[in-house]
Amino acid sequence: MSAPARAIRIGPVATAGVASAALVLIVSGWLSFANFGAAAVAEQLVEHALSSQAQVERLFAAISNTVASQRSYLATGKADLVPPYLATVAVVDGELIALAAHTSDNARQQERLAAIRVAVTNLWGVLTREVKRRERFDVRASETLVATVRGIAADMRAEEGRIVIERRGAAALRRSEALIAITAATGTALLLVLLTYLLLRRDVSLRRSASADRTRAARYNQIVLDSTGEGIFGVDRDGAFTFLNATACRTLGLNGEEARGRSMHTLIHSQKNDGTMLTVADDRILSAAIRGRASARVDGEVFMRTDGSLFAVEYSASPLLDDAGEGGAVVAFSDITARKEIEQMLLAAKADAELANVAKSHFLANMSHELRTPLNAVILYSELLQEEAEDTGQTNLVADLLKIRSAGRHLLALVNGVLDLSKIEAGKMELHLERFDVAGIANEVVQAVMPAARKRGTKVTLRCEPDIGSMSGDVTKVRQILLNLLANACKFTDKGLVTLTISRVLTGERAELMFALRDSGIGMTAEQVARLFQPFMQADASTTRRFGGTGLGLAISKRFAELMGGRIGVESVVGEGSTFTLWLPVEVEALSGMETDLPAPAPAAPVGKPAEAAPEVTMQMPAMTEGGVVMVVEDDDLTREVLGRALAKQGWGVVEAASGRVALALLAEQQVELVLLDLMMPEMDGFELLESMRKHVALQTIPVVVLTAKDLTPEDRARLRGGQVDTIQQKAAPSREALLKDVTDLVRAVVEQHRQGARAPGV
Amino acid sequence: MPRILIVEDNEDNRDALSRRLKRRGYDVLMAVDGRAGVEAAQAEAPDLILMDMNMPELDGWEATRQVRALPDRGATPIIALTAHAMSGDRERALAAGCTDFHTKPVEFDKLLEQIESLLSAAHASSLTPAT
Repeated sequence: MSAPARAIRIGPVATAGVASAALVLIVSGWLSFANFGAAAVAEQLVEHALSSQAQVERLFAAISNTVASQRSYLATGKADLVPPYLATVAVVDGELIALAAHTSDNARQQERLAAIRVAVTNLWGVLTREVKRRERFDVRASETLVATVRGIAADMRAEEGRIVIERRGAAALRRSEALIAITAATGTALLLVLLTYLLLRRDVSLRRSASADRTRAARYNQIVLDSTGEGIFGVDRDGAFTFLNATACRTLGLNGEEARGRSMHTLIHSQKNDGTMLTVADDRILSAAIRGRASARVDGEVFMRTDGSLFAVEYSASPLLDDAGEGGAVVAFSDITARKEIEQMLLAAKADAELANVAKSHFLANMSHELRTPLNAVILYSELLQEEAEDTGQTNLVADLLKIRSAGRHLLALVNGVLDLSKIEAGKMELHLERFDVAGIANEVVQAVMPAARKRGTKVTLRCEPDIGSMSGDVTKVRQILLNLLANACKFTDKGLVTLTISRVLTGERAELMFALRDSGIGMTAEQVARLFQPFMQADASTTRRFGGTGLGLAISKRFAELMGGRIGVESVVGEGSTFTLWLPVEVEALSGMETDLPAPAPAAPVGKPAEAAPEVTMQMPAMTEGGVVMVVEDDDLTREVLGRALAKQGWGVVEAASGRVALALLAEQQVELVLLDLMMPEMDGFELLESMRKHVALQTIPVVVLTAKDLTPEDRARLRGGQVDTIQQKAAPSREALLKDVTDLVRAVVEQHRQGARAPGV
Repeated sequence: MPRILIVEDNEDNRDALSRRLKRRGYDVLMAVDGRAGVEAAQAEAPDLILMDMNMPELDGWEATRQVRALPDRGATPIIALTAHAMSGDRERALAAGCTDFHTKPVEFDKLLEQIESLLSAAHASSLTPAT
C-alpha cells in the first residue's frame, strides 16, 4: 500500500533536482562567459605592454645606432660617413613617435618619454657639436647622454615589465576564478543529476518490490481466507460476488469461479427465515455494499444453498471503501444451525424447568387446600366426641380424643405452614396494609399464650412504652410473627420468664418498632441459631419430638418480616436463654408491583371465590368422564365459574385457570381435551399461552377454542395458530344462555372433530 | 332460643358444628350451598348466620352480599368462616358485609363467645326503640 505513495512523491523531487541542476548550470555558464571575456581583455593588455617594451628596445637600438654612426665618423673623419649618421637620427625620431603612440595610455611613461626626448635632443646637440669639433674629443659628454637614455629606457622596460607581470597576475586570477566557478557548477550539476538518477532508480525498485509485496499479500490473504472456519465472501457495489473463500463455497454449495460476478442476493440471500421474500431493500449485505452502511453481527437471518435449502446464519457485513471510492462489502458468516438447535433445547429445558417449578408450587398449594378439608373434619369430630364422652361420663376416652385433636391441629398447622411458605416462595404472598394499635396486638398475643405458659410455670410479661402508638402494616402477619415467637419462647422455657419489650427506635432515617422477646429458656448454640430460620429445621431434630411444633414457624416469621421490610435477629446462650428481636418499619410499604386484593367497598363489585389455597385456581376434581376434561382459562372469576358450570353440566370434567401461566402449569399436570381460552388476561394472555403451548410437543396438538370480547384484527387472527383456532365473539351472542350454548356446542364439536382426526391417520 | 343458620357445603363440618350448637341449646338451620343459604336467610329470618366463604356455585362472599341486599336482613349478624387466616380473608370478609370472622378449624369456645356477643348486641339494638 505504501509503494504508490512513494512513487507519488518522487516526481516533484526529481523535477526539483533537474530544475536546480539547470539553474546551477545557467549561473555557472554566465560566470564562465564573464570570466573568459575579462581574461581576453587582460591578455590584450599584456600584449600591448609587451609591444611597448619592444618599441622601447627599438628606440634604444636606434639611438645606439646613431651614436655608433657618429663614433664611426669621429673615428675616421671620413665625410661619407656623415649621411648614414643623419639617417640614423631620423630613425630615432620615427621610433620616438611610435613609442609615444604606444604609451599614450600611460602618463608616467609619457613623462619618461618626454625626458627621453630631452635627452635625445641634448644628445643630438652633443653629437652635432662633436661632429663640428672633430679635432677635439668629447666622448664623455655623449656617453653620459647615452647612459641617461639607457637608464630611462631601462626604467621604461622595467615599467612595462611590471605592467606585464601585473596584468598577467590579473589574468591568471580571472582564469582561476572562472575555473573554480566552472568546477563548482559542474560538480553541483553532476551531484544533482546523480541524485535525481538515484531517486528515479529507487522509485522504480520500490514499485517493483511493492508489486511483489502485493502478490505475496494476496497469496497470504487467500491462505488465511481459506483456512478460516467462517465463510467469507465479497460483493461489489452492484451486489455481485467478487470472491468466496473455501468455507463459503463449501457451506453455500457454490463454485467460487462460477459465482464470481453473479448476484449475491439472488443466489443466497433472497429469503427470510420464515421462507418469505427478503427484498433488496431489506438486504443488509447490500446496504453495506451499496450505501456503505456497516452491519454488526446479524443474527436470525438465513442463507440459501444452491439446492434451495435454507440455513440459519450469523454474519457481519463490512463496507469496503477504497481510495477510488468504489463500494462493495466483505461478509463473514457462520452456519449457526447447531447453535440454534442447542438454544432451542436450552429454552425448552428452561421452560420445562419453570413449568415444573410453577407446577410444584401449584401442586403444593392445591394439596394443602385439599388436605385441610378432611383435617377440619377430623378435628371437629374429635372435639365433638370429646364433648359427648364427657357428657355421657365416658371420661376414659377423653384423653385419647384429645390426642387425636392435638395431632390433627398439628397436621393442620403444618399444612398451613407449607401453604404459606409455598406462597411466599412463589411470590404470591400479599400484604394487606392497615393501621392498628401496637399495644393492642401485643396484648392480644400475650393473652393467647398465657394459658400454655402458665401450665409450664412460666411468667409472661409485656413491657410497652405508653406512647407506643400505632403502626401501619399487615396486622395478620404481625400477629402471626409475634405469636410464633412468643409461643416458641414459652415452649422452650420451663418455670422461667418470658418478656416482650416493645419500643420505638430509629434505624438510619427510618422509624422502626422493636419487639424484643427475651426468655430464660434452654438457649441455643451458634450452629443451632444458624439453622433456625430454615424450613423444617428446628434447632435440634429431637426438639420436634420433645417440644412439638411444625419447624416452619420461624422460617415463615422471618419471611413475613422481610416481606414487610423488617427483619428478625436472635441472640442466644445455651442454658441461659434466647432473645429474639423483631424490627418492623412503623410505616410498612406496599409490595411493589403487587396490587392489594382488598375488594372495592362498593357491594356490586365482583369478588370471586375466596382466595384460600390457590387464589388463581380452583379445581373441581375433574373426573375422567366420557366427556373428557376441558380447561377454562379466564381471569374473570365469575365468567370462569359460569363457563365451568355450564361445561360440567354437559358432562365435561372442568379445570379452571385464572391466567395463562397457571394454565400452562396445570397443563403439565393434567391431561385435557380442549382449552377454552380468554385472550385478554394479566400475567400471560391467551396469545402468549398459545405461543407457549406451540413450543411443547405434548401441548401443541390440544384443540383450543377462543372466547373473546375483543374485535380480532387480522394480526390477532394470525397469532391464533395462523387463524386455525375456533373463536366465539362474546358480543355476538344475544344472551348469556345463548352464549353458553354456543360455547358448549362448539367445545363438543371441536373435541369430536379432534378425536376423529386423531383416529383418522390409521385409516 | 336464637336461630342460627349454618351455610356450609361440607357435610362433616355442617354436621359437627350443628350438633355442637344444638347441644348448647341453639335452634340450628342448615343450608348446603350459597343459594340455599340466601333462600333460608330470607324465609327463616335467622338471628345469626355462620357463612362458609369457600363454596362452589354461589360462594360465601356473593351469598353475603345477596343476604345484605334482602329486605330486613341488613343487620343480621353474619360470621364468616374461612379456611386460613393468612390470606387476607378477614379483611375481605368484613368488606363483603360480614359482621365478624372466624378461621377454620373452628375453635368452638371462641366461636361461642363471638356468637353470644353478637346476639346480645343485636338483642340490645332491637330493644332500642326506633326513632
